[in-house]
Amino acid sequence: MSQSDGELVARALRGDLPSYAELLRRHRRRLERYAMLLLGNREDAEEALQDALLRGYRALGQCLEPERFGAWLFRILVNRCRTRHARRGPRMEGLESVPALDVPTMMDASAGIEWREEIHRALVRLPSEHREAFLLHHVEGLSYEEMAAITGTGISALKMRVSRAAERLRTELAEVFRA
Amino acid sequence: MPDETDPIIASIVTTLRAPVDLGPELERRVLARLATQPRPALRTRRRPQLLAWAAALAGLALFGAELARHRAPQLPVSPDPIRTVELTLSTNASSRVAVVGDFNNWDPHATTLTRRGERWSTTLRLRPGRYRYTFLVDGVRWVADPGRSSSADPDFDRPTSILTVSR
Repeated sequence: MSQSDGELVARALRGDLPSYAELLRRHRRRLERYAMLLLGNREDAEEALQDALLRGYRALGQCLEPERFGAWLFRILVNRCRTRHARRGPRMEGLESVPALDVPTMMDASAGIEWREEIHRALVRLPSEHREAFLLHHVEGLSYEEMAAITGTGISALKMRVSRAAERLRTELAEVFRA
Repeated sequence: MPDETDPIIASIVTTLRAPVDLGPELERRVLARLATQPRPALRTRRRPQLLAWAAALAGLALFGAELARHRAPQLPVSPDPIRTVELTLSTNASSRVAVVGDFNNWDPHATTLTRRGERWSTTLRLRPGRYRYTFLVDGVRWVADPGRSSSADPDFDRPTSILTVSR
């Protein structure tokens, strides 16, 4: 029977690195997806992920709810992505013509490559805080209360960002969607 | 949750939720680095610390009472004193300034500053020691305390100030 996250955290705290590796394997897909979609390129995403995973290990003793390790590590990643984005500057934003994200997705090709690329292009054009809010709420399924706890931003501001991001995506992609 | 009534948003969300695979190399790099590092430090729990202090003090009191029967009174042993420290920041923040650091587990909701014009401040009660901290302005901007020495936080790349509370 597989061990729970809490049991693996306890073993990792005793220095059992394979237990931490197992935790990473369990939660990496969600982390990779968020970092790629938010930062828009593989180099930055890998950098943010690496920092988050290293930080997660060093700070494991501060994980107050080991059974919710995935959520705790995700929170670290969100902060890492924010600081990573702030450090490199808004190099993608405000551009009318940007390449689609190079996202190594596992989606079936029949799902529509062109549609996916158009979504990624529109996503990249969003202001970073709108992109972050949209991804956290719609893609990751976080409540506004959870988002506020992670980002330190007020709930009303987060709702506004999600709404504006959705509206802009809807406007930009409506034509392609109907085609 | 996605607005299921809007087919465009629903389709966007479904597409974006497709799993992403960056391959196993990143995980290998991380584990290789961790293999050379010490195991994670356990969190210091405040409550057990307080209980330990209380138990220690109670023990000392009993022991002292017993000793007093046979010896001259001794000076009581006291814990580290609690100091009051004011943190201030002058900024044109629009809504909120918080301070996060070693003293509040880096929780952005634990300690907010009070505004007086462009001056924001809060008062902390801390035991002697060295604390790392930084201000979070409007929930998005990290600002080091200009009144204290600062350095880059190796974990978060954010500016971090150093506060030393003396005995």
